[in-house]
Amino acid sequence: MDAQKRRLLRAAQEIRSCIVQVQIATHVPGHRWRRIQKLASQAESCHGLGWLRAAEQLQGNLRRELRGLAGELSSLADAMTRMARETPTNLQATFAEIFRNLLALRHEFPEAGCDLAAGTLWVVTESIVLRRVELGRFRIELDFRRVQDFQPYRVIAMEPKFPAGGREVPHPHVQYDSLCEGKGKQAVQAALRSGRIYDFFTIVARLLATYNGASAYVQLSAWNGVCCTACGDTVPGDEVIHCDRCEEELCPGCSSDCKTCGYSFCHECRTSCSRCGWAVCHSCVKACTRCGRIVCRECCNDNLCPVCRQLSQENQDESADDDESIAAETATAQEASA
Amino acid sequence: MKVKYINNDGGGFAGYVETREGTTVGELFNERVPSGAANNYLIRVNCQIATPDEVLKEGDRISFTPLKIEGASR
Repeated sequence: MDAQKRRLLRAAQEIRSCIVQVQIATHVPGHRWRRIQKLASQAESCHGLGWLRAAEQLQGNLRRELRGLAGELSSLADAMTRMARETPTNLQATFAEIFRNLLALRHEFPEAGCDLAAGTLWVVTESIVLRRVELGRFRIELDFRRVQDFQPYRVIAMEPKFPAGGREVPHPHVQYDSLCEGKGKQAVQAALRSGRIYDFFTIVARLLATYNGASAYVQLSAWNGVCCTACGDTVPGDEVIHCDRCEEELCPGCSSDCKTCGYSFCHECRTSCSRCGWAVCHSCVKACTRCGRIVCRECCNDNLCPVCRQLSQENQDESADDDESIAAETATAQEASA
Repeated sequence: MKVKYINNDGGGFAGYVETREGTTVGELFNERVPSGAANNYLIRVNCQIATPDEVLKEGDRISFTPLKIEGASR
């Protein structure tokens, strides 16, 4: 028998012990019974020696221990009844069945193994692809010495493909290395309680291969997205916009196109024309030479904003009128002198 | 004859069931999962891949595990 099979035999023995041990609710109160036997022997000795007061005290202690034992035995019987109801003995995997389960794992999964020192059984899944999002392979690692505990296993991403903005979710239903079992919870627990190790790994693998968009730590639609540097929202990869000046990654809501050149810019790399209100980049912006207002090129005329331009125009008109008046008066004066 | 039948769907079922001699895997599936489609399940006999026309024997362990089991986030 090869070394791997020997390891699996040992693991099967330990798993079987775990199941049986829990079936009898961890342990019988042997320590208390030994204490009772000792007290009874001491009380008998004291009686024989005529040490009646000592014997009476020992008998008092003995009575207390016997009542305690009765309570422990009653709790043990209740726990056994409950466990038998949840996992009938005849449905618990036998040692041979557990061993066959472990052997079969190597045929069901690309990789499977056992680490006796660490007390773990593990399998590696095929690469998981959900809705064309590749998540890589996962290692399902079961602590077989805690097989009856709550979630005694981990799910470890072998080649993590984290979503944008979060490195704690390697799979829509896995946070760090903890799988949220959802609709598979009862089946997982039932399989572990009865030692159906093959079923356990198979169920967990199917959970990893199934996507539930209604209850995911991160939606698959956002998996390959990018974090907008302005608002922090996750943007699907094909909707990301890069600022043409600083190249920051933006969502469509946080970028605006320059009215003049048409390129996209972030909030820091653009401003608004004080006349028309449209977005304009720092390269296309103009400052009125008279009042300093920021305007776009379309609203700038002779380096003046529309307001200053109008004022200037009015001044020019006034000057032109004055010039005409002076010219007219001069002409009249000349005619008069002639 | 008696076989060990395990259904890992929902709350799951595991127990011994009586079935007639010569029952095939496909027949047991149709009998136990009448509303299901076999290609939506992993079907194993004694932890090995099984075909629908495989004839079951006394003491065989048959399991049906749904291909799709939805996890959650809480």
